[in-house]
Amino acid sequence: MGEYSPGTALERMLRSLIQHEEEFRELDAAAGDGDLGVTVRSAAAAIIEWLLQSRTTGSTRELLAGIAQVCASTSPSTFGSLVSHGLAAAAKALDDEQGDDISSLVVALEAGIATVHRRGRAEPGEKTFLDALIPALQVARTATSVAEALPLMRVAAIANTEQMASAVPKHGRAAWVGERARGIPDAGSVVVIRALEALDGSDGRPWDVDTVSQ
Amino acid sequence: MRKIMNAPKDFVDDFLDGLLRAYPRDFRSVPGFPRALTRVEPPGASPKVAIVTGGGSGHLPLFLGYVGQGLCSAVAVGNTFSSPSADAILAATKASECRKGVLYLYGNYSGDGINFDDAADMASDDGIETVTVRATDDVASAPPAASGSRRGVAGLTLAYKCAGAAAAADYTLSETAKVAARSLANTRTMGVGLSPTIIPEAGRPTFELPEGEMELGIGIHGEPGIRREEMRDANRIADLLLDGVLAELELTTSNRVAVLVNSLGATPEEELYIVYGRVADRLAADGVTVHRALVGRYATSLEMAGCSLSVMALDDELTSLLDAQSYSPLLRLF
Repeated sequence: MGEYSPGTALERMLRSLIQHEEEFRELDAAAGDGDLGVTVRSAAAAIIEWLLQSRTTGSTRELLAGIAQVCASTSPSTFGSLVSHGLAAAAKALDDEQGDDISSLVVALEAGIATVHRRGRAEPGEKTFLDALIPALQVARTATSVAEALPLMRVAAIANTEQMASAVPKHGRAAWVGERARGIPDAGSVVVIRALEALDGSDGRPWDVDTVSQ
Repeated sequence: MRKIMNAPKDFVDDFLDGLLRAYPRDFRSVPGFPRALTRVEPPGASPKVAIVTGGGSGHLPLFLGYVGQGLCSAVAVGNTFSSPSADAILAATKASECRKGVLYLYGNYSGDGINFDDAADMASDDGIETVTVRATDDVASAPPAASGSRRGVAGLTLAYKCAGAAAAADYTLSETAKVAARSLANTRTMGVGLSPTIIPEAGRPTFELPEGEMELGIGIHGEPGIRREEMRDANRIADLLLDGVLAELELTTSNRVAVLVNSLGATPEEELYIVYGRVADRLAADGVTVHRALVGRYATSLEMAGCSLSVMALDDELTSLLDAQSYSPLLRLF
């Protein structure tokens, strides 16, 4: 599988997401219903369990399809369902030979984002996790390796999420809060950012709802 | 947090287990799908249109309490405040009598929409016809121009009642769906929250509300409402809710309504009746006849304190459907 080891990085990322449960809960509760921490934690824990039990040695395509299935059954919330559909679409876009190289990453991201866009019925710029994913995809296209892409993706996702924090959300439960969600970063985008940080091994700056919302 | 529970992660499965054992004559789980429940059909029942509903847990008697005679036929149960899986919805669909088609009737939440749509696609592959109607009765959740994006709340009670009666009276699938859609088009709801709710698995309140304040326009997931203001007396709260609801209801063609005063969980019935008394006075003064009133717990948000008011404008058909007999052990209906 080359020097970049997806199995290890994936598990590290999932454990990191579990560590951030309270941050996701707090950001989501400020704008929505507060179940995102539970959603992400339970899905990440179930994926780790599945990885350990299945000891999958299959292709990236099989890995993504398997994770999509675990998400759909353990965490079918809005976020969990969209991530599941996105991962399933990413899996379908790859063939069995494709794996952990940069062109596979771009192909998988393009397919996954297109599906999240279609199924979630949100447009870019409406303060959803598309606003972290799309800038990340754009910079991934300019990179020559996954190792080069990850920090660029992280920076792009953070920049756009911070910029979007001042916007009023137009989708999901956060849209009902309207004006009051101004200043709070989108919780789903922060999940994407925490995942990218874990993948490229950087330490994330904590996002404090109380300070950003003032 | 003081909650009567075992492991927080088992909250939903534990309450479902107890509920199924409390009412074995009324509910059954679908073999292999503990999160899909059906009503127990009376012997010799003829095939009718089935109504399948579902949504997150934490709202009892919504959603599964509306599975019963003259109501829904099956329900898919999600985690607390989180959509059921498409597989559970499909299992509830297939376990229902579905030869005459299935109406998917549920609240307008994005996760539920994704999973019900997935289930509808899978059901279609199996030759089962489905039609979807989503409740969007909460006036506080979006302006009138975006009414299609509003969330569904306690008004579902009245839609379940009318659509359930239509299905029981052997309406076709499209006729049943039209009744459900018209019930909801004629219904508006607005709520007020007085204290937050705690998701068992999260263990923390979803928001903080200072003493002496109330959250006007709150939803049934503890989502913040449209604005916070100073706590008022019952008559003033009733006025705020009724004004919000009546602003959008056309009562000129119909001066008959059904009224639902609903507890969001912790608010006692005494307080609900005080609200109802004011609503009844106001409606009487406007020359509006209350054909039916429901006062109690119909759509809750765990231990949240507060209430919601729903008003449904009635025509002759909706009146007779609303009056039809129905039964679920979790509900006080007529």
